[in-house]
Amino acid sequence: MRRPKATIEQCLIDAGDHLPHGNSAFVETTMQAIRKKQVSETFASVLRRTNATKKERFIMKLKHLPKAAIMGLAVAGVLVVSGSAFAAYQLWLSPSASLEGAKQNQYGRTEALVKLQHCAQLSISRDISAEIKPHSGLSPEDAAKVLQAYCEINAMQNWAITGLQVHPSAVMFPYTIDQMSGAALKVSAGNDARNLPLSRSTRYIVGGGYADRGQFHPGDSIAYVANGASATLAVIKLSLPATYYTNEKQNAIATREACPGNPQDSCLAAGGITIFPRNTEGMANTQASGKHLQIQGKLVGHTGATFTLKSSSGASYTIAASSDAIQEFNTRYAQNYSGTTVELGDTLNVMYAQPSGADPHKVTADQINSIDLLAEVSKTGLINKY
Amino acid sequence: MDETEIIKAVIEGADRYAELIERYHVGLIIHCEHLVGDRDEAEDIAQEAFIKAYEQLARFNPAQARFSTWLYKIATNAAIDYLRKHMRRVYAEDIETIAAVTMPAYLEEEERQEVRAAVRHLSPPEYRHVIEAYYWHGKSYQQIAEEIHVPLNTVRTWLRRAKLQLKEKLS
Repeated sequence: MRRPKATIEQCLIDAGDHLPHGNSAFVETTMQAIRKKQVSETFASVLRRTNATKKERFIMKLKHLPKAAIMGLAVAGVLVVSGSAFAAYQLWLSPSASLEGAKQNQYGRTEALVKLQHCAQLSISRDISAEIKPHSGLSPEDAAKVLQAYCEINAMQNWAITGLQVHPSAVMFPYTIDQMSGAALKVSAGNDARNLPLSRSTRYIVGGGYADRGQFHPGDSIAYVANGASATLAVIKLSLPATYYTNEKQNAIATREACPGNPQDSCLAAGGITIFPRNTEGMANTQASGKHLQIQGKLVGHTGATFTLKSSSGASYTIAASSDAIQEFNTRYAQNYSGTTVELGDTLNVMYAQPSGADPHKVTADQINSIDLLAEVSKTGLINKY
Repeated sequence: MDETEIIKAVIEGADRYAELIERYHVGLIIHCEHLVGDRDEAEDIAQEAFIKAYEQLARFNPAQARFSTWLYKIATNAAIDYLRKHMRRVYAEDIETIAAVTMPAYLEEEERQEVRAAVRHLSPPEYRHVIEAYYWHGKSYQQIAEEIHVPLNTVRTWLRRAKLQLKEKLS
């Protein structure tokens, strides 16, 4: 009767999952850890936006005002938090992204250099390099907009935690307004049509600040925050067309940042297929000790157990494994990845540890933690190498 | 309560994640212990996995996998990271084989009843006690040994023999 593949351990665990027993202390401490983390994230987010010295100075000034003036301020405060006076209230700084330039990098991909402002609640601007994935059809201008949308998503989610005390996943996006009526908002995203109940407590936000409902119209791209199906806590007008907020577009770019431990080179924040470690047959081990480093580069040479990578700065890195990891992957494991093999010209990512004083451009077998072929797997299982 | 409903409610802001932890923590801790060989570390890794799953719950797609499979994969990856950080040899193929032993199985209710009945009929009764304590009540070998005043190795031996007996009964 038991499924032949299930082990005794699996049967026992499954039979126990549905029993009202367990380690209640573990459940409690895990929930406490989650709540504590939420609070600390909330606190960190508030700290990022509040200059403590300024806040203190403001309170000190209030203390020295006459009572009548304080009362006046309090009344004004009540007026501000009611009705259209909300418009004066800024909840987050509207992120912006401007394209500073674009180039073809040494991997043959288009790389957009984008200046971001007010991203992740930071008032400072920063430059970021985003590589556009092949076949995505994105232009460099589009890449900048995708990054702006990314920053806006972060801003909305941070506010959802701090302003509404809900989980960031309660922010739903992107939707387009189809129809507005007194008590509801009809929105859709492709085939997903929804009816959002509106109430007097629903907040309307445009440009990161409170706004009037009258500023929303059919055709606008929006996000909304819901607390279950019965209440819409907030409706937020998006600054860009809905398409830039979709998973498809958000996944169409990968950012490039300095490689950990090798700041002269850039590493792409992208996924990959592990070619090492794969098995126990004479491969290099993961007992590497020392400073943990990462390097990415194009495979330009491969002879037996040794291969050479050319990094983004043009430097050569020699990786000397204890056996021919590439050949072993190609012959034994490639079949599991639609026949994807590692070839000259492919981009490899190497995680390794290096003791002080070692040659920075040579990685020996005992230093390697893992080697990955940079690639993305599409929804249909298609593998595209970077 | 249907698991998908709980997940949906949590995503929408309801404070119900503890229901999922209650359902899966015992098995997940055993899974992690099986991978890293240390109970305390296993509990830490399992906790880390629950937290990570909570943070990424909106990205979980119930059409692609069951929650427990997804959760166990998160824990397996965390266990691999732990082993790598602690300079132990980690080989992906080995880990996959080891992990498969305790990955979720999804029995039918009838099959679960059969397993529970087989446990009830274990002989001697100490075998039943250690199996229930470890697999269902979430107790460590050490806790069981202290509770029934036997050496730790005796608990291990009873568990091993109990599992052999169960294997015979259920095959």
